[in-house]
Amino acid sequence: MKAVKTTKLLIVDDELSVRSSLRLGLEPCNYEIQEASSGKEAVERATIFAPDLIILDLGLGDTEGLQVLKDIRKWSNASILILTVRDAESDKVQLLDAGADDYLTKPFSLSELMARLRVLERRAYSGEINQPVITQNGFEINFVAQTVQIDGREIKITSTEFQLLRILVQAAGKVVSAKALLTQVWGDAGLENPHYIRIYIGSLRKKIEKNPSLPTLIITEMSVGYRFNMDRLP
Amino acid sequence: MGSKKAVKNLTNWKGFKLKIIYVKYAGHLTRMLIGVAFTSFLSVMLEPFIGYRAVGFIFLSFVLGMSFLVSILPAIGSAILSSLIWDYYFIPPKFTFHIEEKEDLFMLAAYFLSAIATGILTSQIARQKRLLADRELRTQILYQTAKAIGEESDQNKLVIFIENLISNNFGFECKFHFAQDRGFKGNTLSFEADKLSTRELESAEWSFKTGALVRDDRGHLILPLKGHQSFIGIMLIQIKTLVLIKEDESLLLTISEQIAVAIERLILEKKAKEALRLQESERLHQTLLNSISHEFRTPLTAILTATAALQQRSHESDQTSTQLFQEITSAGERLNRLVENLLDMSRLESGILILKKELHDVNDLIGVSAKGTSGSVCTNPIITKVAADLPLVEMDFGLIVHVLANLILNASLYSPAGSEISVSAETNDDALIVSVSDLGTGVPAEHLDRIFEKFYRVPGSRTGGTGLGLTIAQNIIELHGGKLMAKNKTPNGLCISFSLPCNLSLEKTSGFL
Repeated sequence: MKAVKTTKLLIVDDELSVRSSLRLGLEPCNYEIQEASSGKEAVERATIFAPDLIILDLGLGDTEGLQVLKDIRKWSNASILILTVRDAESDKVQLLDAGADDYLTKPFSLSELMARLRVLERRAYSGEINQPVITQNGFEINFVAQTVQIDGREIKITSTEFQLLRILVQAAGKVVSAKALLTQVWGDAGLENPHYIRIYIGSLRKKIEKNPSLPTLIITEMSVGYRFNMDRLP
Repeated sequence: MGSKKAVKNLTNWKGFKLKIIYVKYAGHLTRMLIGVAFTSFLSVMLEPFIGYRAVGFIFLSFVLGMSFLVSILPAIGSAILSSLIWDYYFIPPKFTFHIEEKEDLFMLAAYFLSAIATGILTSQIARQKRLLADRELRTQILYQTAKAIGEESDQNKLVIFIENLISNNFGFECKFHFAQDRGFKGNTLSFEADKLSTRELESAEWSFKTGALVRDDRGHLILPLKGHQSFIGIMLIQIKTLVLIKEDESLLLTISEQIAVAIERLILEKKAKEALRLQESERLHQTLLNSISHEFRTPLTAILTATAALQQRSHESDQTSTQLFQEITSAGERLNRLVENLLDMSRLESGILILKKELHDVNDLIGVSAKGTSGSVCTNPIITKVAADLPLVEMDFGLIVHVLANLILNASLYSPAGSEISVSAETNDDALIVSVSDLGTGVPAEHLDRIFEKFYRVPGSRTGGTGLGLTIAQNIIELHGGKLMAKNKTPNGLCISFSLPCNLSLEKTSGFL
């Protein structure tokens, strides 16, 4: 039997019931799991256990989740997935800025959590997607030739649209904040005009989505940014 | 300052001025005549002892003294009058203006010249002194005004202090009248106290409109209180004396300007404080709601995750347990929706919800809303009909997504499994209309106008709803200035649509870069 390197996962939540149900749900996926119930313990565990992935709940008893995130980020490269509640939307951007890799809103479905963890896990080993050509379900993007094809038919795409698409695809599966997209594409001017991104994403969807009103490739993450959806990751 | 203001005179100003001059000089003339009479009497008494020549010195001292008390013309007048009296009554031959001796003639001429010179010089010195004293008083008043403005943070106390300052120093009655709405951008004039007469109000209105000083024919002086951003009211002064010199007028204008700016600052400070307090209470409310929702969601997360984990581990062939797991899951999700709806309702009813309006893509709105309802809750296929080239529409994205997701969820709850739900968006004149239609049984006509009521549920409808979704949707849409509407479709189905005001010209702004 081939030796499989198990991924080390740290679950940080102050609720025992959430921790144990997560452990119950995630154990079959071959993770080596440890738990922490407070911010202080989380930082300690992260040092000793050196996890590859961390699931971090924001509502910890002792410290602000954001502070824990910053403390861990100071020295650790582990992928961090944040668990939050719906009402704290403005915090999400802040969290991504502070180094979180992704977030999920409580209550979430276990399958969604597992899918997000898989994305982060792959990313942890291979970094950004650096292949010249990426294909999925009839969608194909060629970074060298700067072309995009849908069902084998090349579509006309402006350089700004291509730039947006490239950033999203290279981070496929991961949320990219609108702020990051705006500054990378338009520089400082972008931040003053947040609606630029909506116009461009809108026209991009009209070109690459089968139904731009029900997109399947570029998914909007409300009040945070966009995620390029990939069923099969390279 | 003087050049800026247009003085509106409501009286025949020339006649008014003559009257003033008359009143002013009448007093001086009386003083002069009494003085001359007294000096003459004194001279008659002393003449036998000192001789008629020394009398000239008594008269000279009188002119000198008089010049301190009166203005320049009466001073010269008393010089002339006293020399005539000296000549007529004292210089021999007495009781004639004729002068015998040459020495006396020279003396009279010398007396006359020195009396005139003394009169002019002394009255000028006296005038300078008066001006200096006046200036000092004005400086003092200005200083006290500035000090009060700097130290007093209570608007009413400041106003009373200034009113007293003016009435104590000028003897004028001074009253402040503030516009009801503080004049902020409002053109209509309504004053806090209706103590103003129609005439006064008229003058006040004029002053308010032109920003100028107004003087009416009953000795009222009306000064506008003009802040940096707005008119805040007027300062009404009853001038008791008929004279108001230029310097005093400027002084009053300066004071009114300083007070206006100071009071405006106080008003703005008060507003800022109120805004801060509101923000504080909003934050408190938000914290409370967040912690409640956290408390609810944590056990729900545990239930749903544990159920999913159990389902994973159980044998797929076990039909009964699969069904049971699904029921636990859907009940958990329903509970979650109920909690969310209750929290939303509380947030909406607290009235502290502040819309974060930004321009958004309508396609995006539909996409996010539909995605939020997909999965175990809504299994119906969604068909979209979106008009081409819709403009970006201003909305609080999160809230409108909530509305649309609620409508889609409702449609799926009350229509047959697998039937289509159609979502359409179009513009009409100046509004965006988004509609959600289903192929269910619709709502009986008599209940149609009640379905937006809180906790109202159509009798006999299936369970699953909370009776809050549509109420919340209606609240959110109305906050945006739009309307939520429901109608039955033929042959069957219900169509719920909402409108959002949108500016079609915004489409043009998208042509950038």
